Amino acid sequence: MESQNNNIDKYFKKISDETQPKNFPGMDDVWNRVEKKLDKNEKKRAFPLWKYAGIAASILVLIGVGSIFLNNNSTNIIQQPEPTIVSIEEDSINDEVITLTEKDKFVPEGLDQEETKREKKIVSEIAGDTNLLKEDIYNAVVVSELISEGISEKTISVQKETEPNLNVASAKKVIDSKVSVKTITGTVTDYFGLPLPGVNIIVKNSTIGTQTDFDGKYSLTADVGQTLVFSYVGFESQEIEVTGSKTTINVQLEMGQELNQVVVTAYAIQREKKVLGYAVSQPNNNSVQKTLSGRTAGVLISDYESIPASSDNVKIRGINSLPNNSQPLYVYDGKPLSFEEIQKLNAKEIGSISILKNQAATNIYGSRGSNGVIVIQSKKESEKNKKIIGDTISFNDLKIMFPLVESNQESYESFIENQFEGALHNPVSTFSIDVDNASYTNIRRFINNGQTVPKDAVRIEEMINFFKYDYPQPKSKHPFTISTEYSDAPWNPNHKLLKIGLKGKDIPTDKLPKSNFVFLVDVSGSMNSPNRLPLVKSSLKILLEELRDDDLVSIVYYANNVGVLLEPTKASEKEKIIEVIDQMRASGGTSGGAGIELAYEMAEKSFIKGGNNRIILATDGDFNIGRSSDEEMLKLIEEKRKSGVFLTCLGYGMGNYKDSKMEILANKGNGNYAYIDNIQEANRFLSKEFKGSMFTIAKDVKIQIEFNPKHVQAYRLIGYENRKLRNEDFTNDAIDAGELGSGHTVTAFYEIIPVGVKSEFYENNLDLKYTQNTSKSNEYADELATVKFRYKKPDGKNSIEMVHPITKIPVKFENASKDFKFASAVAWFGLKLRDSKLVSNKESEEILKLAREGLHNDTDGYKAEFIRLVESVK
Amino acid sequence: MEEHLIIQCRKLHRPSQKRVYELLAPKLYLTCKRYLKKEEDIEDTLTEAFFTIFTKLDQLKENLAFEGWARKITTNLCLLHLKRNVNFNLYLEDVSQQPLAENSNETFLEEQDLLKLLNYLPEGAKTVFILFAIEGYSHKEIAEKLGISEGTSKSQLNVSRTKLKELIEVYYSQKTVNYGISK
Repeated sequence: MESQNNNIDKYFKKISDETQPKNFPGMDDVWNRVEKKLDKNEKKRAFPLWKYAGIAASILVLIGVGSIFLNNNSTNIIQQPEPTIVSIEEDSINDEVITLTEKDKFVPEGLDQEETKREKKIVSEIAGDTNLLKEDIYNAVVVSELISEGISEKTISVQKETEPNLNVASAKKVIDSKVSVKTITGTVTDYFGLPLPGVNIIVKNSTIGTQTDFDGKYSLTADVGQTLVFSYVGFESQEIEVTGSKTTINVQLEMGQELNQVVVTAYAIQREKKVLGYAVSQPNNNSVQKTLSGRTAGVLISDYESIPASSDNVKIRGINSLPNNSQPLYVYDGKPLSFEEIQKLNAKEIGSISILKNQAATNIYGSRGSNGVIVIQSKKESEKNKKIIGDTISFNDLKIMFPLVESNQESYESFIENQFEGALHNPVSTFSIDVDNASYTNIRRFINNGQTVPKDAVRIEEMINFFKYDYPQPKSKHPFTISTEYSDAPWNPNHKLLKIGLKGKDIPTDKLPKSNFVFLVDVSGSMNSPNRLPLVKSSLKILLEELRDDDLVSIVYYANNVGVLLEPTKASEKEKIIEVIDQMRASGGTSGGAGIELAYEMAEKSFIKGGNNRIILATDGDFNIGRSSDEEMLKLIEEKRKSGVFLTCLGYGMGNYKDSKMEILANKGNGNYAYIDNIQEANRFLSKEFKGSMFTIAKDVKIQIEFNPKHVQAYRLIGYENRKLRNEDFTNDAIDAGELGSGHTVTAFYEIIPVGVKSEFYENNLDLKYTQNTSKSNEYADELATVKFRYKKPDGKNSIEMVHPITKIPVKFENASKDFKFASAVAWFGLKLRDSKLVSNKESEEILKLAREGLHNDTDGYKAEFIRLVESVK
Repeated sequence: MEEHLIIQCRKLHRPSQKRVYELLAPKLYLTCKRYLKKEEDIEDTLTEAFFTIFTKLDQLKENLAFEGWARKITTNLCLLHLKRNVNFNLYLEDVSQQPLAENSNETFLEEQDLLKLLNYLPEGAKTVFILFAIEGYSHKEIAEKLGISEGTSKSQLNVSRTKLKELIEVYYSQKTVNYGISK
């Protein structure tokens, strides 16, 4: 990656170096301005030449001012210029009278042609600035020169042919303008004359600004010629230019028409008009795609002309997503449409297109908006909205602009439920175990909130595995025991149900291997809400309680940057660790990739051989910017998995978002994941289930079952759709599978259609030409199936196999174990929620009855809670 | 830049100053164009820059170092302008004013395309990238110049590299011209 970086740098540098400079359009303009500035500057530099003149002129002016005061009562000198005549004293006795005439234009000696020209230029500028006559200026200078030489002004007389002389006021202005930066003060009042505190005053085109105090007074520095802008909410702004004379500017503000314009996006009010993440454009083209392309920043339409149109062409920039599906969501007049349907739209009917990115998109549209949302409105709809855009917006208006879409459409990665397979031609089924139960907590949340459970959020295996079942403890060298049970399927009396249970060894706490935990905490800005970072902190403290003195804890954070908050510390130093946890604050971006790297580094640094080395990632799922970074991160995790460090992902505050991100990370990284939506869940996962969640006793656990076609006509695996493996992968140790934690149980159900049963859900009509249509001989006649397990020791590389035959004799349903009844009730409920096409009887009543029958061993009350959930869903 | 011109400029010889301007302005224009988007900003900055160059020429000791010195002044002025108007910690996308190219028939990146790509970066990230990769400043120097932390500089650099890689991939993946980019 480093070389790639260098290459990018070199590439751009090379191109920029090779770029040929050429004359640019404004070149002459700029030169003129530069010249003007240089001239002005040299006028300033020439000023020292005239320093004496300046000082003298000031004296002169002061005298002039003084005399005006004596002569006149006018208070505002500037507005009423009084001509002053250089004093002529005629009763001088001894002094020479020096009379200046027009001919005595001041030509300083010793200057060459250039400099004289400059002098002339300067004078004309002053003349231009102040409306003084050039002669007057020269005269003023001459007079002051003479004065500075000691000649009393009394003796100087000025005679001119043309009219009025020195305009003292203007001269003062000239001098004033040399000292340009002034301190301006004043008071700002409202219409009634009452002072306004908190009024914003800025100097236009600069960074200077201030606010009025409680008395409405302010003070700031500004150059002559600059403009002060007074603004205040609810009032009309005023702009006042700083002139040469006034140092006090008082302002009275008028009531404004409306308050500052507020733009509402995603139901959160933001004051700035510039809204990031929201781009609007008006289409005027013939095809929808053409309309989208090039019209709006951040929308990439790749070569739509050369590549046959497909939805892959449209990507909204800046979108991150872990699954490779990076399609934005298209909403047309409130309905989500697929890309193909969008293409069929008549572009002429389109009124407006809005593109939402990032937070704006997901806040309104949920997880489907994680790739951005393109909201297209027909002309009719946008007519309704025209008056809305730009004005103050109410929530009702928002609903029209961004109609909420029903949430039971495509919110999760959809999968098709497992169908029945014929045992004759397809006798082997392979899958990876799954001990995560986030789907159940998710479903629980939906039902408790009174929402419909999205079908694709239902993962039956996770629901079943949420509960505790009575399986015998392993005693042998293997880390788990296998138990099977075969009885009727409660939802279809013609079918049977095979339950396979795995129970992981419950390691007593003192025998647990030493732990080396790295807490990797996302402290980016999005973690700021109360159900995120604060809950993370509580979770970590709960986890801390479970650790023994010798366990190591380190903390790594990531936001804009990544860093180590706590070096590996013994869990015995609880106070120190708690202190560091409490200090965490959320702000900034999300460098997840760099965070993971650093976390793995830390874990490897303090790696305990034979111990439990684990990274615990706590985040809200908002990973980096850019698709490639996510891919890199996944690759990294896959790499690091080999190092023997496990990964547990804790998702916080994720609401209804697509939860596949967490799952993918945990799977890639040999680990598990959970959603911590409140403190109870934190307690359950990190404290009660601590040993199961945190200590792996077997990794890459796979199950393969071969059915005996003599007894089994067809079978189907309930759930585990995302966990299916190819049969060949069973013995392939490179294939990653699930991890079993200490004390964990895993349960899987196969629905079986026995031989001889006619079922409406399965048709065996394959008549093969080359393969035998009948089963093998009578060997293994009383076996229903054989199930094999493969697992690796936590630090092992090779897998170990266990074989377990299952007898064909079913147990009568009423004699089935309570656990069988309860577990099948849970499976049944899951099938109901998924609206399974292979289950005809979905009555809640029956599910409830079954669950109640199976209720036992429920110290935590979770099973009772389940029953309550079923009751609320009809 | 011929030395005698510089010497004359020191004496405030206007025609020499003009000549220097004519030779140097196109180059400095390019420099400004990297950092600033608006023409008027560029023109303002160039005016400021040349004014400074000509009036502060006495601060330059070595005549031969004139061009580099002038470029530094220009860069600093651009950064000053940016510092006032840009939030260097911004990660969200800036709304770029330039529409996409509708035909990518070019077989190699031209200067226009380069600038276009850069403009897709958030302004803060773009500035850091230019300073680091093109001008060759270190993170420490960049941090000082922009008034940000070194860490911010590094992460902004990463942001820009990542984005640029993506952009290059998307636009020019068909034409894999070997400019030294390895996959």
